[in-house]
Amino acid sequence: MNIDEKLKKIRLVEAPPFLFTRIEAQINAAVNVISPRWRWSAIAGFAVLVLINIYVVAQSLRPRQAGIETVVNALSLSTSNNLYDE
Amino acid sequence: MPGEFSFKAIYDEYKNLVFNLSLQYVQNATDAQDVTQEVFVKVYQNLHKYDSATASLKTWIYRITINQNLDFLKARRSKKRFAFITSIFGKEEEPAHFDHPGVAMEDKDELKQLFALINQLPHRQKTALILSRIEERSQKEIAEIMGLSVKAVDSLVQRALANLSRTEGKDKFYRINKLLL
Repeated sequence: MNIDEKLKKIRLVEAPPFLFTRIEAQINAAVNVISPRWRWSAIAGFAVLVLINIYVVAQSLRPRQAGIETVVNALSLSTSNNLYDE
Repeated sequence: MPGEFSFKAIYDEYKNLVFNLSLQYVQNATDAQDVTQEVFVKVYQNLHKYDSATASLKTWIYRITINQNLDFLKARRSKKRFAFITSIFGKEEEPAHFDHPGVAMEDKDELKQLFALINQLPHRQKTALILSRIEERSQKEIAEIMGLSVKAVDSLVQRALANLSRTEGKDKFYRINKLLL
């Protein structure tokens, strides 16, 4: 008997009826899981937020010149009452 | 499930096609069920990407089924390679068994041997042979499914049959020799 004749003995069968229930269950399970893309986006967003916060805190801790001193420096004004060099 | 009605209709129309094709690749009902399940989950997840201009729905589903079966067999081979390591630690893997529901009991031994030889074919020859000789698809359909020319499909089928005849002959020779010794 040749190969073709042997292969012709294979019959088609019906798929089991419970398969659709299993497929539905797997699809629903997949829908409830947060996809990796969203997870990584959230982590990256959180990291950016933390970095911004660190920058803002660092800026606020740096010693700043009083407002008036800024004006004096900008206009090259004298800060003493001595009008003449003595 | 969104679009549940249309997905159910697709499932009802193609479930037997997918299940039977999977049986030709994995040769047992349990594995075929698993693969069929994976195929339809993939169909559901990628239905929005399907473009009817590129291929018919049947061709698209055929391609997913073939790729899913080849991935399954690749994973099974990898498991077997590590099986000897896990067996050292006392956990043995069950070998894949031949339990094809489309094969009558009296033909089981003969077809089990034939499928053992088919499983050794390169995967494109195996796919072309299954689609041509078991699924009885036309060469034009097979060419569309596999993304090849009709001539290439014909060549694959002929090479598959030649390889099978050669290895079947060798196999018979070894078995007869074994009986005589």
